[in-house]
Amino acid sequence: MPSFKRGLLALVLIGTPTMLPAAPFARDASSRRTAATFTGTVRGRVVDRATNQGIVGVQVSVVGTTVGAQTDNSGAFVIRGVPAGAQTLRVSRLGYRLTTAPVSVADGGEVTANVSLEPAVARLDEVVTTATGSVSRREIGNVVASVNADSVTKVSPITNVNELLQARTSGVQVLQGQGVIGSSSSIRIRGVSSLSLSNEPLIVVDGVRFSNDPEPGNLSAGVRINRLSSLNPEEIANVDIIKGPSAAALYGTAAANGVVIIKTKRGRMGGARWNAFGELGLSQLPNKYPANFRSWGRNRNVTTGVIAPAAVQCRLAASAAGQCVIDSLSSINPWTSEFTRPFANGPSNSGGVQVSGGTEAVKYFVSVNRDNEVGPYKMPAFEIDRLTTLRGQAPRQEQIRPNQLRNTSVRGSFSFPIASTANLDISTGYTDRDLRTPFDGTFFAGLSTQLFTAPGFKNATNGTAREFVGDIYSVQQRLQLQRAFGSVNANWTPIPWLALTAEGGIDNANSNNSQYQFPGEGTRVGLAWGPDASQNFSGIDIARTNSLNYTSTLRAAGTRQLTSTLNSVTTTGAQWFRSGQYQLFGEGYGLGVGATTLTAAQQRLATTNTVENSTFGYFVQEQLSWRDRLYATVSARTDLNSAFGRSVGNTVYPAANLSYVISEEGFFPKYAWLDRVRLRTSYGQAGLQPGATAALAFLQPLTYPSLTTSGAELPGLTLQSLGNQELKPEITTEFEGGVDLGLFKNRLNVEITGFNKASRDQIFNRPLPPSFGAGNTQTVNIAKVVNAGVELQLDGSIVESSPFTWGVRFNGSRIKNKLVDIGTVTLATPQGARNVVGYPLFGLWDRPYTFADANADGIIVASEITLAAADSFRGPTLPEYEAGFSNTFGFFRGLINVNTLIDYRGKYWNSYGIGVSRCVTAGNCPTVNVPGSSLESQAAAVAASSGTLRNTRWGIFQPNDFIKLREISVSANVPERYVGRYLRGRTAQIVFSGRNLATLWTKYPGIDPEANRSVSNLAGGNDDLGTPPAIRTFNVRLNFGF
Amino acid sequence: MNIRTQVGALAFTAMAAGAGLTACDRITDPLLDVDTPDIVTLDKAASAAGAQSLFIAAQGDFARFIGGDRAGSSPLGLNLIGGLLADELISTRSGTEHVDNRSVLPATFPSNSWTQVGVSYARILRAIKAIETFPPATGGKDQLALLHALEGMLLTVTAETYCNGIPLWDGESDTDPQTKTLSTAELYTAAIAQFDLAIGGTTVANTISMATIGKARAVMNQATPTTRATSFASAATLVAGIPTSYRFNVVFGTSTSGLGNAIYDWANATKNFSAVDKEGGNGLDYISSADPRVKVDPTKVSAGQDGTRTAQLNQYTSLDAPVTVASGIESRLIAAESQLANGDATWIVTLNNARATIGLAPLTPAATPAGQVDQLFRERGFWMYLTAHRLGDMRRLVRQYGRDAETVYPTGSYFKGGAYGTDVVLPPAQEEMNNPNWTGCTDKKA
Repeated sequence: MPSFKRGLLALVLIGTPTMLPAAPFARDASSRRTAATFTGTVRGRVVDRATNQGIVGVQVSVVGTTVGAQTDNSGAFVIRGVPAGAQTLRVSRLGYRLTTAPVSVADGGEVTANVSLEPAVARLDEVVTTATGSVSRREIGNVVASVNADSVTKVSPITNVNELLQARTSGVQVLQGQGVIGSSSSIRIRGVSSLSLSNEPLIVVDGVRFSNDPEPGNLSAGVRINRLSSLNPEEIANVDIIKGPSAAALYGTAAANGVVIIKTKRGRMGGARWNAFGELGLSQLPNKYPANFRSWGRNRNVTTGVIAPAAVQCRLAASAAGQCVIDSLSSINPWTSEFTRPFANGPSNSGGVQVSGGTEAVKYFVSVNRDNEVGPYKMPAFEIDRLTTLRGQAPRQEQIRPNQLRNTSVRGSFSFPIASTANLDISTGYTDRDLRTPFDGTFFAGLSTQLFTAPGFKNATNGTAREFVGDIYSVQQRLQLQRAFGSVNANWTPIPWLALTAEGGIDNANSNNSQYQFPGEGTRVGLAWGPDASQNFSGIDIARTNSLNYTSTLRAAGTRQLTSTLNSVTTTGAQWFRSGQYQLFGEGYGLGVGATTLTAAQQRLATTNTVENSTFGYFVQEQLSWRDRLYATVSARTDLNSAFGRSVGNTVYPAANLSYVISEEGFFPKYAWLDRVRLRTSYGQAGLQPGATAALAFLQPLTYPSLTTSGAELPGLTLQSLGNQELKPEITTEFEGGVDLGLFKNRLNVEITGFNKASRDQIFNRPLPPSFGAGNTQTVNIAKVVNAGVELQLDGSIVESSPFTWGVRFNGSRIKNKLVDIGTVTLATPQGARNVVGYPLFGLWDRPYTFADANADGIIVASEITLAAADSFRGPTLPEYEAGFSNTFGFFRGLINVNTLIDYRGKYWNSYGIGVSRCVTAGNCPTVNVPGSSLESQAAAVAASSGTLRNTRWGIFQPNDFIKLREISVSANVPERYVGRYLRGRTAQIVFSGRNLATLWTKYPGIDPEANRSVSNLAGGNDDLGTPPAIRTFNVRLNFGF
Repeated sequence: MNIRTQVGALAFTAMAAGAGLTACDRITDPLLDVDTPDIVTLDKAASAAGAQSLFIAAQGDFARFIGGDRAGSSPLGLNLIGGLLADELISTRSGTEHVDNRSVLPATFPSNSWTQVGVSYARILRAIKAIETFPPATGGKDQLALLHALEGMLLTVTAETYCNGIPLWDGESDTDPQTKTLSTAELYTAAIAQFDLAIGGTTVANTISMATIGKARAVMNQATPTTRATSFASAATLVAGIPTSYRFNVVFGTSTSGLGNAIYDWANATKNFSAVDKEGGNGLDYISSADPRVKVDPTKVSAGQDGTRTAQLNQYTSLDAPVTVASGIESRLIAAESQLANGDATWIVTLNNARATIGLAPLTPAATPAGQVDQLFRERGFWMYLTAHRLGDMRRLVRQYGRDAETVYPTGSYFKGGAYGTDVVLPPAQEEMNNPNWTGCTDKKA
């Protein structure tokens, strides 16, 4: 038996004795029954100490057992099967101090225990979700970030899960997607670790893996779409973020980048409670876009001095070199010109209804949501008129408004007991999503390139590079997604100290991606995205994908009170996960008039793609707790994955953590201002698996035209991959330590955390020497990356008076990232983002230079620039510093609340692709056209244009730091007595909110410091070319409860 | 539940866990079984049918080597990349094209062209090995001869395009490939050996003609300033019997994703690259001459991808337009150059006879020997426009005729700003630095 199996077996057997019952339970040695079989019922009500109102959602558990319950809408609870005798109830809920209460339970009897809770900002006693189930925050030695989604979505303009996480937790960076309705962002937790694999965290929804893969076959040019976008934030109760391997070890392979654990809303005991909302909104792209310039002149023969008659573009540097003579300057702004302006405010509306409630027989939650959003893109009236004349009919609505999202989501969750000691939770969700996006990205014929690289005068296309805006918007891109997600969770407690759980789920998504333009429509000048003149500039690309993921988990947890002060929880389990993606891609060019499908295309092409992957793992964890203040946990998980090399066996991920609420010790000094001190430390490993076929040597079948048989295309085989029998997962090891403080009667909570995360055996697509003729890369385990940093979280209740309250939350982090080792591989040295040992991943590099206006003519030419001898590091492309600062002001006993959120990112750089496009390629920026432009800008443009200066972009790269006003919301609650009397309801609230409201400060000269087309799961870098800025939204929302 | 039952439940749990651990493989194997229908494992290719598939792929990859691929990240053929470095094309795509302005950076776009050299060469060698091991029922020798001819042509065009001292697969191991470094001279010698194998290994006239012209081309390249006359005469003798109408084309398809005429895709359709007239002062007058051999329409001027306005290039008018690799016209040009090098005044007659086949007016010989050489190379440039010949010709002008590179290659101010660099050849791409057996170009001379 391999050693790891022996080790795990030993761990199980060591843990087993702790599950044996303690001797004193046997009251009568001759009796056939023990005290553990005598049980009773505990009923009660939990209320707020200040208001005496019942508190819903309070966790009430019996210490030393696995039995417990949650309070209903009135604060009432019932716990059955409580062992008879003296017991202790543990009562906890977010926002309140942990409380215990003694209770004496008679065999077969019923006892009432009412508990009052004191409000506190303390987070220590919140319940968070881990791989082994729900635990109190105080029990785990690593930090877990939490977002109460229900509260946030009611008052903040949140449209997707990424916005829910942005700027609300330290160490979690949400890299904004493109400014297109329906686009997705990227999540980075504690930096970037992987060179070749995804840096996205694992997403788990209700215990089941939820795919956040990029939309397969995404044909929306330039728009990043991840599957997480299809999860409706209105359906989420809370989100816990496990930040690193020290906590994620039990999630095994695929968890090295952290885990985002999402729990959807559930029903509670009590009468049906309805919540409905309606929202109207507006989206806009308000940024200032630059005008385009052209300096005109006439060519000059440098030898004879003769001036040619024809008018040509004459840039400053060319005129200074005597190559031409400037005589005029023209300018046009296609972003604002009536002929070409592509933007206009986009309206949106959404609404939803939720109902929850339950009895002892069943608890339920049902939700229906509908969103209709129109993005801020609109065909200008001039173009509508032009196309109406040309086509004989007006353009279609989806061409006039090329960015639209219609989303319907339905969720239902039901929980019911199936025996006195067993219950079943079923949760199902369905999303139907229809997204249209404008043609953009870095396609030459796309919106951004056409307008940014346009000449500085009104040309045949009214001021764009070559395409009419109406034709650009007539290229249609569409994603239709239907996604069904379901999970089943069964819990059985056959004996009070043993809890068995079976969890399973399915995530099934069907998507239809398409990009098309019909005859007589769309871009025409040059091969825009596919079809050309011979194909009537018409065609359709379609990608139809079915994605099917299964998750199943079995878990057993035994809880025993070993002594009066020592408690043990042993958990063991197994998990199997399988993902499959099945795609059919079709391309058809040359459509006849009226034809809209592949079938009618003159040339057709089809390919298929299948990717399957499976993981099987098992885990064991032992937790000892002493006096409910000192917790020690050790665990291990071992995984096998179908993508590992044949000679690689199981991979083991160990973990250990310690949590000590030292302030509860008698010896700890007492201060009036210091309520609580918790020390914590943790260690763990998690992994990331390679691609499905990375370990395999294989040939690829393709068809080729034959040189010997005219007109025939015949099947051929090519060696595509050398494979790697030794390929194993990349392992990330993390050490974390920190302290939690409760100050000033828990009005201020502070969490300070330091971490060091080292990824070894990094999976790297080693570039193969092309002369090998064996594919471009070979996947090897070779690199090492380190991320280290500090995180700070402050939650404070600054003012707590009757007319006015003020709460703040600050979260910030500093994360330093470094590529430590790359083995013997020689890394590529492209301009811009590259990986260099000893420096951050995907840092910006190029050749520095110095310059001087030697002849004082106010124009920099190439000869006045001196290039350095070697490339240098300009800066990282991932922020080293990030922070979020939110304030909540309450007026008139919370009748009116104002929330603000400010977002900061610091110490990082952008390639500034727009600058290159304009000043180097198109030559339409003021720097190269307008006399008097700054010498520094001129030098940057000239250096990037000159082959003798290696076209260095050193001066083009720009610092990207910014502070943004991310959100403001003002909510007004109608007093409950008026809601009941006049509206027959329970609650009513109106909320005015805005998102991405303003850039308060930035060093970045581009349109938006967050615009980044390099945002993706895999790649790094930071470049704003072809990326619209973040959309600003305003919303008014009405929440009504009845 | 009594204590005995509890202990029993625990014992059962422990045993189940232990049994699960020991029985892992029986449980895990079916759970980890996945399908990979898109790939073909190596064992499936070890057969006669597999050998034929490798043969088909080798031909397709050779076509891609010469004439490139469709837009995207696919490689550009050497006729395009060579044309950029020479004077046949300019880059009208966004940004500065380092190959076009002769200041090649190691990681410059498009490194995939070098990748295609290695891929194409390796696939030809694998196909040869496979057919030798698993020959078809009939025609095996003809297939081998064709492959040898393709290998010879690949080596020749590679030697004309890249620097001195490039790595190529040694043909031994598939799973642990190694390379050998070959000098330019060694490449031509190896090419000639391959052409000889092709010529002697088949009776298929098409293959023999292509190999013969290829051999003559390689022989021409081997010449030095002092051996010019004799080498060229040998080459002329080789091709004397090739009919003027002969053509060997590589073909492309429209239904295969990733195999289309790159010049059509990149230059005609998207205008990332464009035809140019008298590039850098030294370039040929491809546009203003209105020569029918170079199909450029100066009346149709439009903006390239970067806004530069250029004439429509119609040299290849569809994705499946073939590219001529060897031709009877090339044979006549070889003969004319040999005659000129050997003082035979009928060199101009040979050129004019070729011109007459498409109705071009006869040329009058230039007044000076240098002018006559210019005339001959101008004819070569126009007849073999965008067929991966021009760069090799420019190098021969420098190497064999003693011209200064800055009087042959485009030079001076670059139209996007700055000035041309001084590169005359291409280097292998950056990724080749991961090859432990290669330390860089021996030299980058013409």
